[in-house]
Amino acid sequence: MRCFRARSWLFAYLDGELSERRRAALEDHLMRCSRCSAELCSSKKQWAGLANVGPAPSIPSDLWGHVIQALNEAERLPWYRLHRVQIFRAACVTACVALGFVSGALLSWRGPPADSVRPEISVSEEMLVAEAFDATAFGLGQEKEGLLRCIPK
Amino acid sequence: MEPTDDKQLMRSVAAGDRQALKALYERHADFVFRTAYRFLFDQEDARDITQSVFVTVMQTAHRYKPEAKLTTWLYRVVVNRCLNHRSKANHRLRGSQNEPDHLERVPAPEENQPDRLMERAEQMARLRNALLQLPERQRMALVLKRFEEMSYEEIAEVLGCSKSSVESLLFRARQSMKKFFCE
Repeated sequence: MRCFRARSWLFAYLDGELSERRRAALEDHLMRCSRCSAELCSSKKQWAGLANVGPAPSIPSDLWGHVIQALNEAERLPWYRLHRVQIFRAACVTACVALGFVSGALLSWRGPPADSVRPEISVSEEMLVAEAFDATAFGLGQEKEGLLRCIPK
Repeated sequence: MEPTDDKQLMRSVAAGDRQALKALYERHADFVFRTAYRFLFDQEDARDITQSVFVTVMQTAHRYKPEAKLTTWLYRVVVNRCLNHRSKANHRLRGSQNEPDHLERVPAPEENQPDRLMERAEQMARLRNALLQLPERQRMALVLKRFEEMSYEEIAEVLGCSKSSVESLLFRARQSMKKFFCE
C-alpha cells in the first residue's frame, strides 16, 4: 500500500469506519511506515485538541417559557402566514401545470385552417387585382372586368 | 396512563398535547441546544434555534413517521435550522469582528495565573474561529462526529447524503483543521 492511500484512510480508521479488509491493510502499512504512524498520532492529537473549543453552556432555564410563548404567538397567526410554505408550494405546482398546458398547446398548434389562408400572389398579380377592382368600381366597362379572369385562383 | 415512549409522545404532540411536548423538550432539548451552540458558537442563536425547533415539532408532529428514530428527525430539524440561520450568524460575526461569545465564560485574567488563562482564552477563540471558517456542511459533519459521536451512517441520514459524502466532508474538514493546528 502506498502512503497516499494510507493517509486517505487514516481518519476513517480513527473513527472506526474502515472495513475489516482495509483496516487490516492499513494496520499492516502502519507497522512498516514510521511517517504514516507519526501522521496517525498527530491526527489523534488534533482530534482530541478539538475539545479545547470549550464546553457548551447549559440550556437556559427560561427557554421552555419562550417556547410556549412562541407557540401561542404562532397560534394567533392568520392561516395564510402559518401555512405560507404549503401555499407557496401549491402556487409553484399550479404555475408549472399551467405553463405545461400553455407550452403543450403552443407546440401542438399547426397554424390556422388551410381554407382560411389567403393564397400567396405576386406583386404584379396584386396590381392586376387592384386595377380590376378599380375598373369595376368606376364602371369602366366590360373589357376591364376581363382582367379578373387573368388572375390565378 | 402517561406516555413514556418518544413515538407515543409524538402522537400526543400531534394531537396538540403541550404536556407531551414538554416531556419531549425535557428529554431532548439539551442536545438540540448543544448542537446549535457547537455549530454557531453563539448562545443567543442557539437559544433561538432550540425554541424554533420545538415550535416546529409541535406544528409538524403529524408529519413524523414512526419508522424513523425521533432523535434523527430532531437532528435533521436542528441541522436545517442551523444551515438556514447562517446568514444571520455570519452577519453578527462580521459585526463583532469574528469574536464569538467565548469571552464571557472564560475566567477573567486577573483571577489566577493571568497569563495562562489569557493564553487559553486566545487559543479557544482561534479554534472557534477556525471552525467557523469551515463550510457549513463540513462544520456540521465535524460537530456531529466529534461532539455528538455519531456514526457516518447516522450523520448521512441527518444531512441527507451518502455515507461516502460524509467521509469526504469529514476528510476535508479535518484537512482544514490540520492546517490550523500546524500553524
